[in-house]
Amino acid sequence: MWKLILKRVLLMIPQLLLMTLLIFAIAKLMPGDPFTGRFSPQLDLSELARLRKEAGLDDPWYVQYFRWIGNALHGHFGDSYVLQKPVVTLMGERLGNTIVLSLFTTVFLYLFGIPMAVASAKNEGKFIDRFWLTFNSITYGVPALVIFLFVLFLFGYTLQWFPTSGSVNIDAEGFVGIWLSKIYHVILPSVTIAALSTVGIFTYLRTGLLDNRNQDFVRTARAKGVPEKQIFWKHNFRNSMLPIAQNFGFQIVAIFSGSIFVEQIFNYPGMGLLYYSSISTRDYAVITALMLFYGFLSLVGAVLSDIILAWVDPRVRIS
Amino acid sequence: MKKTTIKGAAGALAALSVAGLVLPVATSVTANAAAKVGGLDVAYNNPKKAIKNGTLKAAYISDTPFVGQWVQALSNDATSSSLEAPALGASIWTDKNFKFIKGGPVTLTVDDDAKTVTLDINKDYKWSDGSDVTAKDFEFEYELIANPAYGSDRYTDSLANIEGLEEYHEGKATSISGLEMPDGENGKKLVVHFKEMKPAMDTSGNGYFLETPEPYQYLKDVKPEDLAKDAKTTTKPLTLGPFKVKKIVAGESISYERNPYYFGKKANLKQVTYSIVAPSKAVASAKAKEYDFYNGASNDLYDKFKKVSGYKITGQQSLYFSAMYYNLGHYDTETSMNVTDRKTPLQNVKVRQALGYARNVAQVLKKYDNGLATLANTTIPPVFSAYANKSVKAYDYNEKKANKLLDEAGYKWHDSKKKDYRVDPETGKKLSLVYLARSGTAASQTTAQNYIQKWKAVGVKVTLYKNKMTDFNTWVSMMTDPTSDQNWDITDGAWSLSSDPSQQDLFSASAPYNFGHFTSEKLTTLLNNIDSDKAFSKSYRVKAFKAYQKYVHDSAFIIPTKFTIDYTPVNERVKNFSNAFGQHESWSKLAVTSKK
Repeated sequence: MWKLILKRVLLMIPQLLLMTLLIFAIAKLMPGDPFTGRFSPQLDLSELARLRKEAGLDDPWYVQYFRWIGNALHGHFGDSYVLQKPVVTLMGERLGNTIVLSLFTTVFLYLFGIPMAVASAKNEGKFIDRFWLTFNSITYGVPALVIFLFVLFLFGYTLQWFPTSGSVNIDAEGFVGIWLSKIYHVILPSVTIAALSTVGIFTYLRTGLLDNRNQDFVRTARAKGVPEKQIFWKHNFRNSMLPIAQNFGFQIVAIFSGSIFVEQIFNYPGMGLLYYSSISTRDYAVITALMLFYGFLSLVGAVLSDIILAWVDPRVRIS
Repeated sequence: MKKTTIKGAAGALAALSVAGLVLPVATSVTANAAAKVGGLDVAYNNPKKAIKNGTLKAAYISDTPFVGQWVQALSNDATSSSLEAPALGASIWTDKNFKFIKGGPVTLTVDDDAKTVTLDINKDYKWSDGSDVTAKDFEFEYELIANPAYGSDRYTDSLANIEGLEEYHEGKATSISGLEMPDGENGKKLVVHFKEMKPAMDTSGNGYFLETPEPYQYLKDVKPEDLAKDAKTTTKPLTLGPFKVKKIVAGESISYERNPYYFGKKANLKQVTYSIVAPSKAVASAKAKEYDFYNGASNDLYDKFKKVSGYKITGQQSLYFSAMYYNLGHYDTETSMNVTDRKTPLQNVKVRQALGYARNVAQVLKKYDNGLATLANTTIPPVFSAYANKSVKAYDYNEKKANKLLDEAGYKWHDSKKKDYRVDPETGKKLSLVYLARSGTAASQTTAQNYIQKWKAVGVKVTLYKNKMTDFNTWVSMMTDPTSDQNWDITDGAWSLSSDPSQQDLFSASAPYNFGHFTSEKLTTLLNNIDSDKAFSKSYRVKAFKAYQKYVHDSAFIIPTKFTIDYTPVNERVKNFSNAFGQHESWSKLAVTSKK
C-alpha cells in the first residue's frame, strides 16, 4: 500500500514540473501584462516601464520561469500586481469560500445521488426508477447554465429565499453569525450543482447494484440464508460503491474546477472568480499560482482515487 | 502628463483621474434639481419626507472584485474609487466648473507672482480616529508618489514642476525642497513652490499638485514595500468623509457607519453598504429592489433598467470623448517626439476628411447606445461648456461630400460606371487601408464592419488588421510600443478626461499618447496657447480652446466620434440624489424615505 502511494506521489513530481512549464508559457503567450490596464496619460510611460522592470517582466522568459519556480518552491508566489496583496493571502481568502462551496456541493451530491440510485435499483422498471432515470437524463442533457439562471431567478430574485451574490452578509456579526451567513450563501449554488451532477454517481451505482444482484457472492449469500436486507446493504451495496469510491478524488477535482464556471454565474467570490478576473487583468502572479493549484489538485485527485481504490479493493494492491 | 484616462474594453482596467470625477457620485439635489442631460434628470427629487437613521444599499456594476486600496497614491482602480466614495470627502471644495472655492476643510490660494499654491487646513479637519489633519499629511502624499520604494505609478512630468520633487524622485535629495511647512509638520499650512505657474492651477484635477492628504502618523511605521498590502491601507483605513469604514468583505462589499469627526454636515443616513454586483445580475437585482442605486451601468443595460419599476434613471455628461485616429507617422524614442512621416494616402487632409464623412456614426449611436451617446463635434465634451466650441460641425454622414473630397484629392474611381474602387494617383494601386478595430462590446464587430461597408461605398477598401478585431491588451501594446507592428491606418481611441480639458498629453508633438503621430507647428502653437501665460486670462483661454478645436476639425488628424452620458438608476425611496458636479456634501445629504 505504502509503496503504491510513494510511487504515485513520486510520479507527480515530473508531471508537476512539466505542468508549470506549460502554465508559464501559456500565461506569457497572452497579449499584454498586468501594467497594460494602467495605461493612461495620467501616468508617464517611463514610470510604467520602471514598474515593469522592477517586477522582472523585462527579463527573458526562462529567467522569469526559473525565478518563479525557485520562489514557488520556497512558498513565495509573489504579490498580485492588480489586487495589491500577496497571492497566498488572496488564495487564502478565496480558497476558504471555494472549500465551503465544494464541501457542501460534495455532501449534497452524495446525499442526492446515492439514495436516488438505491431507490431506482430497488424498483427497477417501476415508476420511481423511470422517474429518476428521466430526471438524470434531463439534468445531464440540459445546459447547466439554463438551470443555474432559472434557479437564481426563481429562488433568488423572485421568491428571495436565498442571496444572489457574495459569500457572506456584510452585516453578519460574531463567529456563529458569520458562518451561518456563509452557509446560507452556498446553499443555493451547492444544491443546484449537486442536483445537476448526480448522473455519474446515479449511473455507476444503479448499474452496479443491478449487475451485482446476480453475481456469485450474492447468490452464495442468499443460498446461505442471509437476509435480503443484509445481502443488499452488506454485499451488493458495498461492492457497487467501489467505482463511486474510486471516482471520489476526481469528483472533488471536478467540483473545484467547475467552480470557475459556477462562481462566475452565482457571483460567488471564490477561487474560480479570482481566476477569471486575474486572466482578464493579466495578473500573472495570480494566474500562475492558481493554475498550479488547479493542476496540483488534479494530480492529487488522481492519486487520491488510486489510493482509495487500493484501500477498498485488495485486488488492486496485489496487482 | 496628468489628466486623462484611456477607456479600455473592460471598465475595470481604466485608472482614475486625479480628481476622481470619472464616475458619477451622488450629490446634492438642491443646486441642479431641474437640470436635464440627454432627456435624463441630473437629480432625483423625491418629495417624501426622509426617515431618520436610514440605511442605504448602493451597488457598483462590475464583473471583477474591487481592490480596496485606500491610499490614493497607490490606487488605480475605478471600482474601488466608487465604492470608497462615502468615506472619501474632498479636502478642497470646487464649484460646478471644477474651480476651487473657499469654505471647505482646506482653503487653496494660488499666488502667481510668488509661484506658490498654499493650502490652509481648517483646525476642525480631522481623520476618522479624531486626530488632526496636518501639513505633513499633505506632504506625505508627495512622498508616497515620488519615492519609488512605495511602488506608486503616479509620478508625472507635471508634478516635476514642483521645486525639488524631481531630485527627490531620483534619489538626489532626501526631502522635497518645494514643499514648505511654515508652522512645522503638525502645522496647518503647506506651501507648494513651482518652477512655473499654469493657468489650470485653479481647477481641480489639474495634475500640477496633489489635493489629498494621507494619515502620516498612522502610516509612518509601515515599511514602504508593505504599504500597499498593509491592513492600514486596505481594511482599516483612516478616512475624511461623512462615513467611516465599519467592515470590508474583500472584493465584495464595504459597510460604512457615520464618521463622528467629519468636518461637514452630519450624515443623514446611519449606515451605507456598497457592494459589487455582476452585470448579468444587475437588472434582476433591481427588480428585486436589492439596491438603492447602481453606478457603473453600461449602455447595453439601459433599456432593461428603464423598464424596472420603482427606479428613476438619472444621468450626467461624461468627461469623455472618443475619436477615430489615423496613423500618420511614428514616435521617435531617441528624441521622444512624434514624427509625421508615414507614406500613406492619409497624409492628404481631404482623404482624412472623406473617411470621416463616410462614417454613419449618428446612426450607429442611435442603434447601439440607447440615446446615451451623441455625435462628437470636437475633442472637448459639452460638459466643459465654457471651452467647447459649438460652432464646429461634426463629421456627420455625408456620402456625397466624401466622394467629392476623394475626387478632389485625386483618388478617382477605377471604373467610374461600376464605382468599384478608387485608385491611388501616384501608384495606380487600389486605395486600401487597414483598420485596427478594437473588440470589447457586443456591438464592436458589427460597428466596425458597418464602417468598412460605408468606406467601401465611397471606393475605399478597408480591411481589419489581421482580418480580425483586436483585443484591448494587444491594442495597448501596439499603441505604446513604437517597436511593435505599426502597419495600421485607422484605429479608435477613447479618453476619460480630468476636470481641466487641456490636451497637451494627447496630441502634442512629444506626447507618447499621440497615437496618430500628427504634428504641425500650428497644432503646437494652439496647444501651447491653452497653457500659456496669456491663458491666465479666462477669455484668452476660452479663445485658445476654441481655435484649437477648429484646427482639429479642419486638419482632421483625428475625427471625433462620440460624447457619452453616464446614467444611474435610483430607487424611488432615495432622497437628495444628484449627479451634479460641484457638490461637496453629497453623501451627507443622502437619505431614504422608507425602511425598504
